[in-house]
Amino acid sequence: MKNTFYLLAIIATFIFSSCNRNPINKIFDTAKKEDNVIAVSLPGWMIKKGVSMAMKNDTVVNDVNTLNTIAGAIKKVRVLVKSHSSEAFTANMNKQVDNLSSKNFDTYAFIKSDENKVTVYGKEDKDKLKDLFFYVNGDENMAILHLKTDISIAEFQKLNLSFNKDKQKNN
Amino acid sequence: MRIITSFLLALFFTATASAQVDAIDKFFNQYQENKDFTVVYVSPKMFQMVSKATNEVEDKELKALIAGIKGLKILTTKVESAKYYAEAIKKLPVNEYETLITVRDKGQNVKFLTKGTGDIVNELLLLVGGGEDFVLMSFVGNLDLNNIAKLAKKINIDGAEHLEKIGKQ
Repeated sequence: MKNTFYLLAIIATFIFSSCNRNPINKIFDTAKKEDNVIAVSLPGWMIKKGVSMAMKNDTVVNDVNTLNTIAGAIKKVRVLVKSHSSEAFTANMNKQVDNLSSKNFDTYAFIKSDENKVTVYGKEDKDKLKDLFFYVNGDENMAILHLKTDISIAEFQKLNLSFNKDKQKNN
Repeated sequence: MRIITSFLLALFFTATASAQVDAIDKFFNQYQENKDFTVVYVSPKMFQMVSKATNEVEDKELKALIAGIKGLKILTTKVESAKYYAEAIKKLPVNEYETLITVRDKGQNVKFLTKGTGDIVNELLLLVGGGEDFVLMSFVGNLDLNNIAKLAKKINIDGAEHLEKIGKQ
């Protein structure tokens, strides 16, 4: 009787944890099982180091310190690129990505041109951007990018990005 | 009795407003997956973030413009533009908009439809068809028409150049 109880408890725990699994992890796990896949995962400290090195001579961002703060809020970046996608795989991925809307993810932007589609999803919690997910779907190729973050929406204000290219050239 | 009438009126206006949005959404959804179409959708949250991140001094106009936009949808194609234009005119509730500009030149129709008052409009619909391209562009928010014209130079997509016509009005 005790063994049966333990078995049921383990099964219940497994089912519960599967149901609550991060949908992004599930997408990455599904894609990783396929052939022709390249996946890279970078920890937060590496991103921060890389951004601070890359931004030393950049004029787009006026406040490097703010960018460093934002880079510091990125906990993890994952990229996965898959080539020669089958129709079944693409359909499965589309289904899983579409399902993000029911898991508290908002569609931030969607762009489609010819066979290429880019969809940007975001998940916020208490005015903080927790997840940013890019889904790029081409004819036979697919790429997904996930940023696990803890960026306060207010921090964006401090970024002070300039899109005025002419002024930048003159400076 | 008065309460019931007010309630029914409120219900009627809500249903009418949502039907208009639905018609545009339906049209977009209908062709979203069609490979002949280019589709762009930018959500209010995305505009909110970009607006916050934009430089207050150097991009004052852009910041003001983005801050006013609550949603943008663009649907374009180079295939059978006259057919899609006619379909859009038929399916979208164009008679509920105020026609700002109508241009007909060498078989190409350009229509700017708005909702709102004065220079500030709540909704702007651009319809182009009959020529090389079919364009359906929908802006929602508190839009300054003068700023929208300036946006034409910032959007690198077929049909966006028509937005400049608002500025020339």
